[in-house]
Amino acid sequence: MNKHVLVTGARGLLGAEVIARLTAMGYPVVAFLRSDGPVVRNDGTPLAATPYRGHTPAAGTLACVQGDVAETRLGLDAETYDALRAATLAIVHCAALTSFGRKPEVYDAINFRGTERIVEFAQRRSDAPIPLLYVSTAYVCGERPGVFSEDDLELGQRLGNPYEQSKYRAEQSVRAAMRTGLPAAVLRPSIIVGDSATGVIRKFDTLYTVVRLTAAGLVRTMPGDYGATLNIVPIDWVADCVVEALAKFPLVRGRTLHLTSGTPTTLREINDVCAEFPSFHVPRYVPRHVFDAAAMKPLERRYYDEVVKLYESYLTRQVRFARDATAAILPALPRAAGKTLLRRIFRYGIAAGYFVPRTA
Amino acid sequence: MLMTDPMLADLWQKSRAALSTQFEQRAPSAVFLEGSIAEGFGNERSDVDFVAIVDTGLEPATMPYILFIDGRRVEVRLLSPARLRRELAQVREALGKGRRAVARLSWNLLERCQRFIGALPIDNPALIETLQAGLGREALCEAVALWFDDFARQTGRYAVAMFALGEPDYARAWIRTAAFHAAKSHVARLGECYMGPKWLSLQLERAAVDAGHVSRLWNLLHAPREHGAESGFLAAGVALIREFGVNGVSLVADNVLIGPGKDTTTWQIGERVHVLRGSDVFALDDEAARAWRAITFDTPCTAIAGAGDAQAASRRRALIAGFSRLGLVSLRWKGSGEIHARQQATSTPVSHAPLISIDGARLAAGRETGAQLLPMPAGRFAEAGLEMIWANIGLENAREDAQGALHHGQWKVLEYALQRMMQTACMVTLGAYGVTPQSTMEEATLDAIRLLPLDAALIDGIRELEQCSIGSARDAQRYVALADELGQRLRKLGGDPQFPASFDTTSGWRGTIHAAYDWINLGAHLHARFPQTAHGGRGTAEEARDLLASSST
Repeated sequence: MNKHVLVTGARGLLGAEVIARLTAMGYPVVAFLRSDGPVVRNDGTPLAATPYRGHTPAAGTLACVQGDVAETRLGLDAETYDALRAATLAIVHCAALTSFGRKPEVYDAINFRGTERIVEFAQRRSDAPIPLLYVSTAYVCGERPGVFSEDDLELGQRLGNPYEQSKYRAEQSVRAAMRTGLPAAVLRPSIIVGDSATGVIRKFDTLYTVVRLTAAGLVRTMPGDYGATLNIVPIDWVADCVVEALAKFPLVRGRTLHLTSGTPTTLREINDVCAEFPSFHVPRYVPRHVFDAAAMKPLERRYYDEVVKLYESYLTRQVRFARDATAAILPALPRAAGKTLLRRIFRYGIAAGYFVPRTA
Repeated sequence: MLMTDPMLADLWQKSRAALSTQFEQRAPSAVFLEGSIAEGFGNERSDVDFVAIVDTGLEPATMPYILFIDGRRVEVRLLSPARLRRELAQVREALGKGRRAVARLSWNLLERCQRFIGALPIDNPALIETLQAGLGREALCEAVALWFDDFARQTGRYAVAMFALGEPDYARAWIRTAAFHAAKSHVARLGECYMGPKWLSLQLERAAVDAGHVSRLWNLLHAPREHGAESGFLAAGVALIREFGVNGVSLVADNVLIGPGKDTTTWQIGERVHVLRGSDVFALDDEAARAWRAITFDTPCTAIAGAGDAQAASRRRALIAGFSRLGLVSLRWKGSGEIHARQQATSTPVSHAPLISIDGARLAAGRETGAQLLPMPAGRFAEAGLEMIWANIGLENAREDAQGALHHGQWKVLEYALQRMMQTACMVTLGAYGVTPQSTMEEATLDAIRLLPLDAALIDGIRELEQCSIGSARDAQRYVALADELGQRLRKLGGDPQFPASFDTTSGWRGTIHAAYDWINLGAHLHARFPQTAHGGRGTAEEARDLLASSST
């Protein structure tokens, strides 16, 4: 019987790139989508696909099935659910709500409960469960400073927001299932940004949303530390790693791997790169205990409350992600890292019209 | 009259005799004549350039010996065979890689090779021919043609860029250069590869270049400046360089894109925009700052400059042209990278004082340029600004201490606070004048008296307060009033009569502190020396920021 790789979050940035690589390698792939529409690569190229009709697609091709990890039986009818499960060779679980600012219960439903349902799906039969690659986040480290190793999870850390809480709980579930025999591995990317060669990104989120406001001078002062670090990794490398992890599943099984940069970028370095662009303002970082949002001008306050505040916790963190297993097993990071990568992604953001000069 | 071979041989023997000491220990392996006379140009006033090939295993100095023999200026250079071989090989290798690699060869290297290939042997022609075969005349001409081709293309594009930016005089100057060098490329393809510019007319003649082309070239080079005819002039130049075989220049202004300048960064302090070019600091006036902030890389300069009404667009074009001349931005040709036509220029540094305010550099009045170059390097600018801010905070703290001591009748405490007020007030003004690093508190008033234009009353007052002995409330009140007055006068001399800069709203203090954070941003970028206290020191950006926070609450 032919079997396929099931990829959830197929319409997300990472999911689509993983699918493109798997089909190119000859895997039959079933994409699990929550919403109707094409699977689009990071550069905007749609992937050819057929609807999933209970049969594994041909080698190197893609079929799409619509469902919802937040619903019972993944939102599928019993027949489809069973057929899909019977023919799944491995699961890459990318589906997650990653944008900030939503209610905690939404993250809980998609990221935590959704992952539990995927685990349940994978534990088909105790004697032959389906191998699972779970895409978590390095930021399950929460606000705890210092070195966070690949084996670390429950260290009493304070989690920065509902997103991190939901991913933390989801990882607990996956790890619990692993202890009872589920063949799985946890992949923890840090902050995913544009392509390492071109800077291209299909959807601007996280770091981009904050830089958009600070660069335009709409928010000029933020609570933060110059020495705080953000760990950014390019989308193409993360997708390469996921696919490589699947290809080397016996090696990664039972492990957690940090898909992170070995040299995180300090806020000071980000400022330095911002200063290279004439239209970019450089934000000021003031100690959190003296920062007073109430003193902001109304427009700046609004942008701060609606966007920057959601990411504020990251502006004071100083964490280094150990990446021993990643370094030993997965592809090396591209040469464009740190400030070089930032330059590329900012240039693309400008070219795409996302970072708009405020004065003309 | 051109020189005959016997005349040259005789001149060489006389030159060698004159340099007998130099040649005693290193006899030339071969000798040749190079330059104008060797190429068949020149006249009786032309220099005679001999080169002696000497093989000592070392590289002789490049500087020639200069002699005056029989009424002629004679230059004798020494070259090693190894160097000739190496440089000819470099040209050959660049040719193998293509036009871009040839364009990266230095003029000096290519010209040395050209002069050698075009040489007239005087002694040991066999060795000279063997060495010349390392490149050959045909390959040399190809390299020279490519080099001038690229130069003409770059300068032609730069002319188009200047025209697009509303600088017709610059466009005119550069399209002439482009046409001249397109002609040099053209004649090099026809075997005339002497690189110097002065014999072009003879080269065109010898290469039998089309008379129409030649006539148009001279017309272009000598046409008088005519207002309103710039567009036609530029078009004529672009057409001519194309006819000379140089492609890639067109009169499409949208091809000219704005790119980053080398080592250029932007730092706003308060509302003042500063652009760093390496260690140079340019402060922008408000209009220039608006034009600067509108720049996005890889965008046509016409799109950036073109918004708004005609007058505003014209002014913005002029500002962007100025930025490009200063090297704050680069000009690029769509699809072809940076336009390499000229080196960056710079403006006259401003010379006024005080130089530094809480909001960054103080602009000089009466200057037309939108970007003013400070007369101090960026690191000193940042450090002086930080010291000035810190001294201001120190002065405020000392004033509070003085008020407290006055209120509680603590005269010894008051004496110390008043001394500190004078010291920190002097440090404020020293900082505003760009003095950094500043000496210790003990010397602050002495330095101010020595370095700043203080009047006699101010000096007397500072000295009086530094050695005052307070015995009564009346004394105390008088001295506190005097310290306030002198502090105010010193601040005024520094250009910022009050600190924070604005008291009109509660945001005044906050605005000042924010400017201080901007100084910290700049200082962090430059790895500047951060003050740990008002006494100076070597802190970090983080510590400075925390200190500032503790001072503002």
